[in-house]
Amino acid sequence: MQTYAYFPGCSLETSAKEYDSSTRAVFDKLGIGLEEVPDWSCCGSSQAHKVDRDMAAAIAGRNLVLASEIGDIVAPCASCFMSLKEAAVELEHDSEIRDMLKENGLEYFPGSVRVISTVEAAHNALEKGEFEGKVTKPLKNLKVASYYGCLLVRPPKIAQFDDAENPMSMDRLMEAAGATPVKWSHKTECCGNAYIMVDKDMTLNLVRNILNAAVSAGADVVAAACPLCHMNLVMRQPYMMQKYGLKSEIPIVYFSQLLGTALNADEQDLDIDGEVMRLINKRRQEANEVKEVG
Amino acid sequence: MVLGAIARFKSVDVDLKKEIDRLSGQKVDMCYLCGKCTAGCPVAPYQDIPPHIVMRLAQWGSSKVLESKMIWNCVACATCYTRCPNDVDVAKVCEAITQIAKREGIVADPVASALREKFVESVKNNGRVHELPLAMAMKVATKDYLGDLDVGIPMFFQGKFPLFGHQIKDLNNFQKLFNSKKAKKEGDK
Repeated sequence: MQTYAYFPGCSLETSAKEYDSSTRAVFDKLGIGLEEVPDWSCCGSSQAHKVDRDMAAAIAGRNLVLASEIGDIVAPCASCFMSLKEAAVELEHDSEIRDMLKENGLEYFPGSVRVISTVEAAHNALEKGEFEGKVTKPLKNLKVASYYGCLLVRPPKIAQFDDAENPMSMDRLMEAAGATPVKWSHKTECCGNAYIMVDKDMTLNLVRNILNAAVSAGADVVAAACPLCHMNLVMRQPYMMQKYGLKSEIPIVYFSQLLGTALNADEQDLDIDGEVMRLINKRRQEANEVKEVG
Repeated sequence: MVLGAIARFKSVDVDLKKEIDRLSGQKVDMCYLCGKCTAGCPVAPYQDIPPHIVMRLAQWGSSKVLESKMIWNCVACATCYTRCPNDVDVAKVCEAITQIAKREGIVADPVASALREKFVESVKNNGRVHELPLAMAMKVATKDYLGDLDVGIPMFFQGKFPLFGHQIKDLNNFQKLFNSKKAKKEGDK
């Protein structure tokens, strides 16, 4: 069995618990092992490199060293993915940062570990045909806007995954899950990340634009692949309808929750919102009715 | 405002430019001001000057750039770097300028500065980010104490904002990484 070193990241222990449990459930269904990196530490996220780039590479690098005992490292959070991957690039080229780690008992061998996101890992599994026969509860008729955010595909030189302007991997995963991916404009527009805590007005404007684009494209739900994107998109929808011209509320789910539903994973692990589940079932029913009439 | 800034502060400080190049690992002279970074920048409309003007001021080594709000509010989304025809990572340039500005005691956006400081402090304390104290520290920094309680309280009761954070086992060695510096950090590169 293929096994990845799994790097959950800080948010998946707290505000994004359901992203963690649904990710584990999906990979379990796909027959891919996830072994948690022992005693992993924060990746540095979008902030540490702003203070000191070398320190950021070193703290992210610690996780790469720990993961190398297990294998390639897979991260569900887009920000973790990018921090770890950027560190891998810097460690490869900069022996002095490797020395910083070595001084503290952590030896990194360039090229010893590859960093990928859970979207990429799931997409690889799809391409290898590992979904075949496993999609027992397809998400018929459900229109999904796949939201990649920034760091899953950008900057392309480091992410080295999918297209930076119009990525399709998550759309293909949604299609494989029986859903209907919608074409829309804001797949990779930034949600404002942690700046929700700095400039709320600016961030809500960015989020409003993303949500309105998804609503206009006729999406039932938005699928996210980052805990911070998810939080920003979910948090203030009623308020944005009053003050920011949001057209209508739209549910936000993790892509793993949708995949897991289609793969018939344990409901408790998926922890999908009851209202979203009713919507999924309603769309399934509509699809069946059309079939009967037709 | 933008044109005024250009007219008034056109002065070349080679040392400042060199320092920006060194800290960012970029060559700001590679920029020919096409404005693609500004066209794609999600936060530019909410700032004082747009990213390509940051680049221009950096090329001149104008100390005016240190006072800009834009450099602090770059969200590092990498849209500019992705689209730059000359391969300049504008986010890294902004980041480098904030580091210089901070050293000079000029912090045009104290809240953005607090976010990165508090974040790193939180990581250093436990090895992982503890969201609740970080969010509370940011409430203090923005003086918006009650603003998000409607969102925060339900999350607290869903167990999504635990009171106690997780501390990693090897915290001692982890914290040493914050103090170790590259052997030849100053001067060269």
